[in-house]
Amino acid sequence: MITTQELEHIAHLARLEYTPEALEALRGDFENIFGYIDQLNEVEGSDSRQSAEASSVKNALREDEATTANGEYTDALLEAAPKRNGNFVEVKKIIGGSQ
Amino acid sequence: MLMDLTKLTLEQAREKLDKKEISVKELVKAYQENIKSKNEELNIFLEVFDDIDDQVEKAQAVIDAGEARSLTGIPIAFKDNICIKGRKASAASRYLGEYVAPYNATVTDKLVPHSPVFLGRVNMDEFAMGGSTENSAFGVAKNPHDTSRVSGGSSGGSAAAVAADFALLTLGSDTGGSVRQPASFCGVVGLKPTYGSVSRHGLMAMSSSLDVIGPITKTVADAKIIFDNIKGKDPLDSTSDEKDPVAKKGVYKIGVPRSLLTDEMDKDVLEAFEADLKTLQDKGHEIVDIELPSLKYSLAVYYIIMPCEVSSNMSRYDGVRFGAHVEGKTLEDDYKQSRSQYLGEEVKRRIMLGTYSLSSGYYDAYYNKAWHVRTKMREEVIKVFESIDVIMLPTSPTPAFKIGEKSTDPLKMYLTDIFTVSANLLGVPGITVPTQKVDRDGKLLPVGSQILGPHFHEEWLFDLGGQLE
Repeated sequence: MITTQELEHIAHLARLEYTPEALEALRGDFENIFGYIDQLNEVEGSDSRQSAEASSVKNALREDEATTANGEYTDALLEAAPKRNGNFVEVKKIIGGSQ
Repeated sequence: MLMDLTKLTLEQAREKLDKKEISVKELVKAYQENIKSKNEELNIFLEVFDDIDDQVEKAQAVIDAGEARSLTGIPIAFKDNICIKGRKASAASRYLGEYVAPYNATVTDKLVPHSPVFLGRVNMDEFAMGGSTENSAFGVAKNPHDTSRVSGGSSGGSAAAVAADFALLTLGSDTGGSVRQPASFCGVVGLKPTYGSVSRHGLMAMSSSLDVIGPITKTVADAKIIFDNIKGKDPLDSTSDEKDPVAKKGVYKIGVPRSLLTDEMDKDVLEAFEADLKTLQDKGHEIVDIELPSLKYSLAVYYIIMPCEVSSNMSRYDGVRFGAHVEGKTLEDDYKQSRSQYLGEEVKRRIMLGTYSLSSGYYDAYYNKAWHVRTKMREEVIKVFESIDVIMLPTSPTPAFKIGEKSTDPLKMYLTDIFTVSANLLGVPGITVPTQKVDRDGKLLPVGSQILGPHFHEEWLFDLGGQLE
């Protein structure tokens, strides 16, 4: 049983806000969905390590070399930010003073 | 009599363009006219590009110079989550709205040198989360076979665009069935390639251990042409890989996990599936029953692993780096307001499910458990592929459902993925081929069958899929 308090905490961790009504509806969804997921308890064990046999994908790292010219994408990336100040992305002050 | 140019397959269009029987302009115009007359009703294209004439001219020049490649002058469209430099890409989200891609996806980089004609970007469920396109911030993409029904999802726009002759072929992305299920609902071919065989660079990340880009086409042969042109190892995707194509076989041993075909399935869809098995049997292939005991848990595993990865991938939408921004009292407030006001309900629901599953005290019970079962599934399937060549399943348990039928019950919507998620969890390739039609309220709705093969065995899927057409 998932409590409203727990969901409020999860919403905070996820940086989301819900109205009390929306949170109650979500609680109902959670009960249904995790009720379905609970069938996994029929399977013994919870070792998440993959056997070499089961893993088909290997991480392939490339050389740590620059492949683009310095500054090639700077402007395009900064341009995507909703608040830009020169060559910076602007955010609110988070240290010192009153928050 | 005038030929309807939108009925040409990629192979046929290529031949006519190269022999100068038709011009790029004529071909593209035929599609543009369909878009113009029917897009308002079907809501497939979110944007039709305004530089199509320039693209047409350029493609024709390439053909005239005798330098045509597979896709030169071919009218195509991408799902709205695949980046084309300098063009908008919104993932059908209000959050990204006017976002312009600063770089090309690798698949875009691979196709641009062909000089295809990019017609526009097509509708989808917001950030690829959904099975009907009802989660698009810009409204549902309707099914061309019956406009009271969904086109499927999340690549509903990509599938409907091919079915409605709005584009000769499209690209979609498949995380739990998002290419195959809409292709089945719309009566077209959809390929989910082996995980890692097509680069994910420039595809907006949803669930990184499951996502793959795949083509939606009119024929299996066309799907092969696109796959051959977009696959390959990419330094920009550390999980990408490549292998030499496997040789075709004369006779295939086809395994059917019968215990998954329960009474809850639509009776007509089951009948259609049996008919497809019979077709292949009549062609000399061997059909055998197989047991994959863990496969019945695939949907439960999927609805843990996918939301966990979603919650992590969606953290980049913070109101700071791109897209929407809502001014709050503090920086944390900015995050919360921007996300809460601009992300859709289903996206938020999955972020919440994932955050919960990954939170302290639940991690072992959910995330680790899910990986444990996923590993068991993989071991079972690798073992079963020692005695059979491919697995066959229906693509979806039902034909296209009505708009609104499942949109208020998330679990009911999730259950439509039951036959498709396993390929993503296993990383194996799957193809859906439209084979039958079933009657619903006097309308004939397409139904597809799905073939799954071992990793990097797409050639077998093309071979067998072609025999089902």
